[in-house]
Amino acid sequence: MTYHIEPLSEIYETSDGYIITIDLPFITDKNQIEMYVKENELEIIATMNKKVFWSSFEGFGRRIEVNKFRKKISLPIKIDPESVKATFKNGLLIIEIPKKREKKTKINIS
Amino acid sequence: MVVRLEYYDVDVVELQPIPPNLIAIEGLPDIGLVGVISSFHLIEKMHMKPVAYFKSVVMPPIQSVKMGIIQEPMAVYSDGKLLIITSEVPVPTSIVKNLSRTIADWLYEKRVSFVVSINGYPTQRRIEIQKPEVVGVSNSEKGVEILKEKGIKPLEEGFLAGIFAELLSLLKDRNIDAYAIIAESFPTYPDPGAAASALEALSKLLDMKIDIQELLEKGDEIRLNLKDLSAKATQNKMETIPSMYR
Repeated sequence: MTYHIEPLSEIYETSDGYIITIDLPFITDKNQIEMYVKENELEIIATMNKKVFWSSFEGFGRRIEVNKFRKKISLPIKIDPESVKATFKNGLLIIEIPKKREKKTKINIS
Repeated sequence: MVVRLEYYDVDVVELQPIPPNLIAIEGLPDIGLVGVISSFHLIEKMHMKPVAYFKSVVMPPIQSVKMGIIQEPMAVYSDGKLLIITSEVPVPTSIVKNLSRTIADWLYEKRVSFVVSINGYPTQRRIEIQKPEVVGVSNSEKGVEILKEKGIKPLEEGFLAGIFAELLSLLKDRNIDAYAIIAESFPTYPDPGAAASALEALSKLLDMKIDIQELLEKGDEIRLNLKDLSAKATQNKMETIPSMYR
């Protein structure tokens, strides 16, 4: 049986939006990655170029065969899915999510 | 022969006599697991054997198993020249102070010639960096001159946090020269590239040839297998740093 595991990820907030990086060892080409975006959620599925053995503390060190990474990330804000940009470089997926520009109304102070 | 020594909340169990004048390397879990990756690379390449291990009631109840036999996760390895302290499990925040004191006292007792810690410093722009830069820190003016002579740029100013920071100071109190080699690293991800840069600097400091090619070739395997330890080490590290320095 082959399993999928969750990759490590980091999220940073910038003044313009969010940058999410996802570490994807054994992924060498962008075509191995599928990415889906909803208003407040990202899903990434990446298929490794071979099956590998992996063990975790939680699994009591039991080695399992894995060939996929899968991760869902809930976003703290609603986003425009069309505005999301993703690049893959040196085994890292970098996702840039701009913040929605919301119309501001200036209030006069009396 | 097994000798059990008690320091603070930590026991050191020696599996064989440890001669004086060894060079000690500290590579415990920290940012990017730079020390852990470097340590296990040296242990494997130099066919080092475990010579001692650390135990504490405060440590998580975890044993690694290899070929059916338990292996102590926080252990000391040696080849008769180097003494490498590393761990396969995260170091709980609550034990950092006492473990540092234990290591410092034990290294003093073993009369090591000097100590080198290998670490990473987190940089958000790591993705843009092909070859991570390395800086060095020492606990003496003489040590800084040696770093310069060996072509390792001293860190001009900043803050250090974690076991290696504590060790540099505790070893100074015990008149033992100590260095930290610190490589630019991913903040959360295991970073074999940073470990390769750190080992290049270590080879200059020790005048010793270290083959890093295999380490770079095994990068994917290292990143996958150490992902959980790296995440936990980063989390523990953040807990040890006062919020104003984060």
